[in-house]
Formats: sequence, structure tokens, C-alpha cells
Amino acid sequence: MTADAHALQPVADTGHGTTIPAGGHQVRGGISNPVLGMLLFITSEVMFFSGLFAAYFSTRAANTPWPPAQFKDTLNPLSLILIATLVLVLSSFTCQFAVWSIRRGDRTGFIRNISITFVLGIVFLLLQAYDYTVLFSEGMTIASGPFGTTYFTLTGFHGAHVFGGVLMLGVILYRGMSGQFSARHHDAVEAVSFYWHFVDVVWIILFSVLYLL
Amino acid sequence: MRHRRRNSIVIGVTFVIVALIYWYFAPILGYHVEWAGVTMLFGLGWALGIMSYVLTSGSGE
Repeated sequence: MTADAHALQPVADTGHGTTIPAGGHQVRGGISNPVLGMLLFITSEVMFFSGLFAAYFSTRAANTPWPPAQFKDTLNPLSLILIATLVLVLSSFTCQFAVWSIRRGDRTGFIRNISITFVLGIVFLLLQAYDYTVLFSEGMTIASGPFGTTYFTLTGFHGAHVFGGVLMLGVILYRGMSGQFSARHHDAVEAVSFYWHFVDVVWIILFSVLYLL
Repeated sequence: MRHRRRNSIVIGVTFVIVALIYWYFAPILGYHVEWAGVTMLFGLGWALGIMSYVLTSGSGE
């Protein structure tokens, strides 16, 4: 961090002769360990999803027509999945509002926003589960050739990541309600917010590729 | 801080540009475009952008 950047942020005395920015996650000389670990984890997740997308595009290029004739109108972007997408995008905003709240030391605002994010995450999962049942009823399953396999593999793994994110949100909500976070100490909140934004961005790419492209 | 972010973006965009060059020029030069390769280069740009930020920042603890 440059001297100028340091000057822009309020600092707090740690009592050990050093100072840290009041923001919490940017500590003197580098990134705090929870955020560092989460960034490394997200980096590996980027390559994981890149591998899945690579398999999807490779499969798609080798199978024409795409989608197959029997599933030509099955994946409609103007359906329940659009609502699920909006729910997830909205949850990213509320997650960031929660981060900004705790940075200001506003614990009430933090708990309110992280609770909304938590609920929106669950709503997304329920909508996706319902969408799966609709697809099953229309005869599209993971065994429906390359089209079904790639669709359910991509969306299924993403759903598993959202489920993991909801668990993380639940943990930080519990910790927040226990008063464990403050304007200076909220590294876990920053780390989970990075993960949640990542999951949101992956879904936007997934939605664009599977439903619009 | 600002330099680290800028450098990370430059590193990430570099791989995206390589992907775009491959995507655009492979058919012109008579080669088959492997979509998995294009996708992985995009992903690599994203991942290495984050990695470069992490590596230049390091742990503060």
C-alpha cells in the first residue's frame, strides 16, 4: 500500500507500536490472512469454473444443432430463471451494503443486510430446485445427452457453491448477532462478501451462456 | 494499492488479449479454433489477475 493510499484511510493504534487501517481487511504491509486465503480460494475456483465452461464450449462446438431439436424451447430466459437471476444479483448488492455498514460500525445495518442476503440466497436455491423439477417434467435430465449433462453439471456445481455461500453467510450472521464484528474487526465479512460476489458473477456468465448465447 | 490493482488488471487483460488474438487469427491462418482453449485463456486472465494482486500484496500478518 502506498503512503498516499494509507493517508486516505483512518488508522487505529494496535497497541504494539503499529497502525492498521480502520477498514480492517487491508493491514499494514499487505492483506489480512482471511481475505488472502479467500482470494487464493477464489482463484482456484475461477480455474475450476473455467474448466467446466471449457468443457461446455468444446461439447457445444462438437454437437450441432445446439440446443438439440427436442430441447429447442426448453431453456427460456424469460421464465422463473430470470427471477432467480435478479434475486442473486440483488443479494450481491445487499451483501455489499452489509460490508459498508460494518465498516461504519453500524451493526444493526450489517445484521439487517446480511439477513436479507442470507434469505435471498435460500430463495435462489429454492427457485433453482423448482426450475429443475420443471425441466424434469419436460423430459430434460442430466442423462439427456451432452446438452442435459453440461447444463446440469454447470448449474449444479454453481448451486453447490451458492449453498456453500449461504452456509458462510449463516456463520457470519450468527457471529454478527453475537457482536463479534466491529468497524476494525470484520475480516470474515469482507472475505465472505468476495466469495458471494464471485458466485454472483459466475451465475451471470452461466445465465448468459446457457440461456442467451 | 492503486499500482497493484492496475498491474493486476494489466496481467489479466494480457491473457484475455492472447485469447482474442488466437480466436481471431486461428481461422485466418487455417487452424481450427479450440473453444476450450479460448475459455481457459479467459479464465487464466481472471485467475492470474487475482493471483498477481495477492502476490504483490502478500500477507500483512
